Amino acid sequence: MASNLTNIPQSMELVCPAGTPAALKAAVDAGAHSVYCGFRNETNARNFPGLNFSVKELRDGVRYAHQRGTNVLVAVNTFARAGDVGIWTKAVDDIAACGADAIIAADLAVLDYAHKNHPQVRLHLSVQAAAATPEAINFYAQTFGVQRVVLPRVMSVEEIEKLNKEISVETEVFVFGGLCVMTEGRCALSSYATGKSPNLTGVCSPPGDVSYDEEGDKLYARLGGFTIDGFEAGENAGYPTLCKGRFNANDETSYLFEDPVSLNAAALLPRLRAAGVTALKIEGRQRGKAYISQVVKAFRQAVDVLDAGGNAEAEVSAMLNAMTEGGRETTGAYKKIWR
Amino acid sequence: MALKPERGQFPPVLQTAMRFLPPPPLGMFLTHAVRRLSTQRPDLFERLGAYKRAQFIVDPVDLPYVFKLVPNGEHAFVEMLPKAKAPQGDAKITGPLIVLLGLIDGTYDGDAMFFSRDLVIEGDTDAVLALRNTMEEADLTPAELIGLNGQLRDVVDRCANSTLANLRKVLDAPQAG
Repeated sequence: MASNLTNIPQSMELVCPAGTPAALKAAVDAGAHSVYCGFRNETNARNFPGLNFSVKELRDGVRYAHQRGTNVLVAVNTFARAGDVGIWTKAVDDIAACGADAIIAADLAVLDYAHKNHPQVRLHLSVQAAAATPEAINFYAQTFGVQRVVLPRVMSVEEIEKLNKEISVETEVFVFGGLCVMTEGRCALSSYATGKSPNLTGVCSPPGDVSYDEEGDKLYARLGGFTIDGFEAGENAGYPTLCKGRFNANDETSYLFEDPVSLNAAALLPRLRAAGVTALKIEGRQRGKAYISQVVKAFRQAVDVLDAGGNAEAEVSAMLNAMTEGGRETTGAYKKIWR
Repeated sequence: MALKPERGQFPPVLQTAMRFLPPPPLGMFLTHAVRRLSTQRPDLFERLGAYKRAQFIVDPVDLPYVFKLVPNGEHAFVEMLPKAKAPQGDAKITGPLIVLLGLIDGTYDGDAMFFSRDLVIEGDTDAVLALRNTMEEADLTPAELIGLNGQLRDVVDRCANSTLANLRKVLDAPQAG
């Protein structure tokens, strides 16, 4: 049986992104309780050029983190290809050999392999599994010994509280960063535009299919040749993710699915703690170490202040103001005032 | 160009003056620095993958020159060219010099700079992302770039970082992360 994560004196664990070894060090040094990362291949859902870890880099990263009391969680959270599961099982073996603290997985085959071959390593259910019901989560817990589930960003705080009363595993929720408005693991929008998706190839709206074109005074962001958005001079730009595009429909131009805003649930930390949430996840493995350092410091301060009986919402929001997509933020589905 | 007007840029009078000054021999110096880095940190160039052979055009909007970079390990080269002779390249990164320097040393987050329109990218976005992530990992300091070690390195880095921080204030550059 896998052990509990150690070195978490706070009431809630802060789980922080690390797209590179430098970002891992930045997150650890800024006060992350845990960092999460992935290998430089299609086994993880952030398979972007120049990002991620080699096996040696992971081994070194685990050593650096453990020496400073930080846990390392490694994502193998894409869905394995039928008849070609070799790189997924090798990734699981490598994680165990590197001494990482947990594997974050979504695919049944990967979960089964990890559970049978490395029962000493904790298993976390990735958000890519889109498990949001007690029935689904309890199945994963009973079948594969999953100890934590990362919840999709489509649930309200009330729903999370109710869920926590009906499951035996820990819950981890996203509190800051890019906001996936779909139920993760089940979105095929990127596939329609580019033939690639986070679920199978580890990339949503892959950068190789992205172009930014200046036309007159406007900047157009395109994905796979489709115009996703246009920005006036001086207007903040955004990444052309299909679900955050601005389109013409019924003679009106608007964001059809959701505005390109970042999630910031700093104001909801007390309610998330009361709802029984174990861990707070910061999105952004594709972001740089300057961003990582600032966001981790802000949220670590928020968690520390919360544990001391205070509320650091205003300070945290000021610290994070410049770090959000489109320069704007939302509490997402947690408050259900969201479109 | 969608850059916010004058934010972080050298004053127009200085930009004009620089057009009349002879270009410093930065190309040869930077070529040597990148090649030295490839022997010290080969992992960085593995991270670039196929994009180490890509031709990157780095265009400081407030200088009369562009830099052409092919980061191909020990065969890497950097060339400084007048703007009028700038080739198209595979990818182009444009921004005020102080912002571009801040991306190299990790002062600025590339995504944040792009969203705020302080930075413009054109061409192969995959290549730009690979370079940007590699620069992030390189964690280069000014002294490292010029090949210094030991105590002198710390002194040079402290001076350079302090100078750059002051320059960011004077030029009203974006706030550092």
